[in-house]
Amino acid sequence: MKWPRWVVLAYLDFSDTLRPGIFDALVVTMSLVGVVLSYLEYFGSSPALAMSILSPTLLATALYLALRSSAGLAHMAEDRVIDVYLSYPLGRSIVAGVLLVSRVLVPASLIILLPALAAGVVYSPLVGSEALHYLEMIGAFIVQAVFYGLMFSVIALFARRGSAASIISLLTYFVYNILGVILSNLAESPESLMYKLSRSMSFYLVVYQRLTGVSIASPPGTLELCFVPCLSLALAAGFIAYFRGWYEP
Amino acid sequence: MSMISPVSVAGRALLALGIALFLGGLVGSLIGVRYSVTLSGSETLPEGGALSISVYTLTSSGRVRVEVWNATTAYYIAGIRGDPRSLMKGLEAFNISTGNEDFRTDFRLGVVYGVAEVRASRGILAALPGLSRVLRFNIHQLEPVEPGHYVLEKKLGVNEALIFFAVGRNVTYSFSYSVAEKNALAPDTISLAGALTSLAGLAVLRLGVRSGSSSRRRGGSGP
Repeated sequence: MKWPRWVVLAYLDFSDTLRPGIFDALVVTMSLVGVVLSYLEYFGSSPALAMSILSPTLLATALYLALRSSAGLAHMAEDRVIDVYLSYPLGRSIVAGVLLVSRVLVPASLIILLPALAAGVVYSPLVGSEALHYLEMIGAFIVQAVFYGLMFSVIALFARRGSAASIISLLTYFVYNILGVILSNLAESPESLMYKLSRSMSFYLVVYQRLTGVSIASPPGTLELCFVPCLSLALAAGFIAYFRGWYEP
Repeated sequence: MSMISPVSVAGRALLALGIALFLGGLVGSLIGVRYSVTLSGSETLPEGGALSISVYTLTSSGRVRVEVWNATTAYYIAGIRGDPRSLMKGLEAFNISTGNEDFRTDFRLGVVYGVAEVRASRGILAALPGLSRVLRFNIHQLEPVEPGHYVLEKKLGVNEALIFFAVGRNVTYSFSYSVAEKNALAPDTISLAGALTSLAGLAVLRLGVRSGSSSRRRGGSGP
């Protein structure tokens, strides 16, 4: 069977992003944390379970994407491996798309999904009855992780050096999260624009509050729900456009 | 650089999940699973004093049982949303204050509970049910099951609170809270599921190695 060229390229790239060792250790550790947390706390609803298990996992995913995926992309430019990728008879947009899938979407989804699956097995009577809410929460965390990954990939394109890409990515991650805290602290009331902006910076929080109604402010609206997905789409479009038009390895 | 096939990724994911479930089940057996909490004791209260027993659910829902002995009267307020201690603060406007508070937060069960001494004049405590309209909460008076012995059993939803008042001098109390549903599987079951998942992961990995080597023998190209 002859595989499409872009699939072959994706497989080649997976060999770097999903290389055995650190990836497996991270997934085992985060899944183990998920199972232990499930026994340490009692959860009465599946969104609460997902929120508690996946919040630490999201941090681990962001660190992995910054240090492995994004820095790996910059290393590829540094070591001229990207030239080999570009020598494939594929359009630059397709190569950029493949890079986003193999460096961001797949690793982020796997790292979030496996701890969620482990905790879901422990809490299977609860998750079974509220499966849709649990899946929505998992999806929300994956969207947030993909957003971080896209941000780091854009940084890697500009940084071009692995060490610089990882440091700038980590700084951006922490600045983004601290900015959310600063905005919520500066907000005069939970109904103010600043509070809503800070809340909308965390997509999983918006989804959690919409599902459970647990919030000090009014339930999040559609604009808050669209904030992170729209930024992600803009970052993906920006990455592909820059890679296609101006990127010179 | 060796290529990674989807079969090997699936095998590694299954193996990782299995190891985590197996080890997590073992840790779960060590730390134990908790579904209920109890508290009991006796309090000597000043003249005109009362004992308050409060429970506030954070993440769980369940059933509360409060039992008191040697009490002259007992009241309770149910259906409170949020922390009941803020309501107790509100009662200070009626010269009803609390002291000697002993509140415990049980994160494993997702519940806050505790006892406190209520200080007020006897007249105010007797008029407690009359405050219902002002406080916008129904303050119910309990009927004794036998002289001095009062029992209250109530269901609590998530983020709901209950306050129980027992008026008397030497009040003995017993409180228990148990969650509504046992949502988690037993740790032993999880360990067993982990062991089986790990074996499945190893089998898939072996299958991936076999299919990879036979594909190479056939001289196949691509992943």
